[in-house]
Amino acid sequence: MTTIAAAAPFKARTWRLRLWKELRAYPAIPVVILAIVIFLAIFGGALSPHSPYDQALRQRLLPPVGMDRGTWDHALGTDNLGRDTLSRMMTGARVSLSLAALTIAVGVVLGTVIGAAAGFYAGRLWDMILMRLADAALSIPLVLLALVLAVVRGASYWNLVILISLFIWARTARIIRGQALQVCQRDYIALARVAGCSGPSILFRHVIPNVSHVAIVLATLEVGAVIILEASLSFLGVGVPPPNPSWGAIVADGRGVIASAWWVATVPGIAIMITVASFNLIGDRMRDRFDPRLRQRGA
Amino acid sequence: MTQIVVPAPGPIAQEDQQGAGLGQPLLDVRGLQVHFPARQGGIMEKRRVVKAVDGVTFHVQPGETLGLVGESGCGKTTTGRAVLQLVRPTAGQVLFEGRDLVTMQGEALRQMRRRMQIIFQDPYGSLNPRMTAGDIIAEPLVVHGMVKGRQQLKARVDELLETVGLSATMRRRYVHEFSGGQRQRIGVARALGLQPSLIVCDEPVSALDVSIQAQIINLLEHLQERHRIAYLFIAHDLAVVRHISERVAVMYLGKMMESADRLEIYERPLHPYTQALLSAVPIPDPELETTRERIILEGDVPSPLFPPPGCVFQTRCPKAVAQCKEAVPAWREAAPGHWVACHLV
Repeated sequence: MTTIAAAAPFKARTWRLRLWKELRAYPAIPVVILAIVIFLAIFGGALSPHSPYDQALRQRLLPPVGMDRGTWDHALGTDNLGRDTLSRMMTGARVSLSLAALTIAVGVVLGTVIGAAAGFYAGRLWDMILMRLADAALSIPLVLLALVLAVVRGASYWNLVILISLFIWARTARIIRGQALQVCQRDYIALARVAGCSGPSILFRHVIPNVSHVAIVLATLEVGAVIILEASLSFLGVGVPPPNPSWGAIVADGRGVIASAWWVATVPGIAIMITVASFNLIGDRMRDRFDPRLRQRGA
Repeated sequence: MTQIVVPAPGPIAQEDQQGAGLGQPLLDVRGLQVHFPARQGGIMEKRRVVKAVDGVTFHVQPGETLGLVGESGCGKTTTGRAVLQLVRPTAGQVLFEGRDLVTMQGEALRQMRRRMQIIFQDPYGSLNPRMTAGDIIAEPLVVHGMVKGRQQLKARVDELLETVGLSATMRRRYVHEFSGGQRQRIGVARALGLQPSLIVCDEPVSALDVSIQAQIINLLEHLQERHRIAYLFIAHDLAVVRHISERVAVMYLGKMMESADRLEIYERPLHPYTQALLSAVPIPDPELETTRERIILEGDVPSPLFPPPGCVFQTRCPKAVAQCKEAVPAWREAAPGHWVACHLV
């Protein structure tokens, strides 16, 4: 009984300890950067020093603080229309990150279920249909489809969501299928059959839980790719329509004046780079931690 | 040892007991064939098949243990899986309680499998790492609606855990928290939950330490006594098979070589392959051990893609004669209950 009593206060703290331990396993700088970026994505709109839409033509193309004419009032300078770059980036973080979160949630969940089903029914009709669908999705030129959608429906946030999800699910499904093929060779799948489980119940209870770690890692690694994709599409003018700021759209705004005011495009470019690098570093670490082969060697 | 709770025998279990007297086997496998297509060579080449199991016949009586031995790659594991229809046989019959499983599909097969379970060799790969021990044991019970309500399920799982010598408090632990022997016990508990009349044990102890092997073997024997479960015990360890089996069947390259009662086969092996196998077992008596004659087989097991003509064993048989290269020996009863496939017997 004494041991249980002694263990009680420890148990109350245990989830915080676990979170701390888990966090410590990841590189510190990317974690901090991501925390800041995510914070900005949530509260940036409210905290921004200026309105991201208000134009001030007399104050156009101000450089960031520290340079000639730079002021703390516009810490990261202003763009061609005199809009405050810092405010636009803070608001734009929400667009870029929410798009990444949404498309990855949809794409990875769909891709995992479809990929696992294809692996589970390997060699049968369902496998063929699903995988040819994935091949088809991956063979569509994304930019062309984005252009078509932008013309037909008008450029919008939701176009991008549809487009990028379409791309992500197919990539995920392919990788997950390979993983599911391996899992289906395991004896516990045979045991589930002997126990009388139905096909779908084996799929959802045994196959998907055992490929989910791969899906988590994939999701993290895809964040960077999605942010860049969104930026590229917005840069081309088929993404989030102006005047809404997204990081890619801000880069696009700066393109015209890059010779005279390089900072307008460079500052959001650096933000994209740092954020993507942080996600990739964390994704790499997650892959190391969740990779079954490495894990078995450790335990 | 914790107290063993005997589950009430179902109506079929009682039938078995009556059937035993009449000599109707619980499992009757006739001419079982499992061929896998082998994709190799050019398109012009004849399509080849791997004859993993090629015409195997045996039976298991209710409550008895049949040891199935042979070298690795001889098809004994495939035989075990084919019995449960985890691998679909190419030909032959698998009669369980008199009904042919090979032609069964879907729900009918599901109901039959309830009465026959399997334990696998690898205690690491045979339990889902994402489930707790309790969930693993509960799954078949839930799927077949063997229990009603959470309370009853929990009670039954605890009872099963204790039956196999684990504590009920281990219910919430995940697979990686158990040792190899404990995992194998979880596998046994899961198999036991449906009150099967046959358990296929596919090398259940060969991945374990020797001391743990003995514990698991004792547990299996104990459960057999209590619940009158028949085992198809697949192994390559002849000492273990000798200990646990009532009858022994020997396989080589997908074919049955010899089968007989345990004493008969260990004392009077008729087939040259069985003789060679048994000569490899050390005798635990130093004086007798020095007199032991070893028959050492030459060469390797031929590829099941290109089995030799005639008797499959002729390429390595020390006693082979011309006839062995020409004709496949028939599977016949050389003495009462002692079956063998050899021209020389």
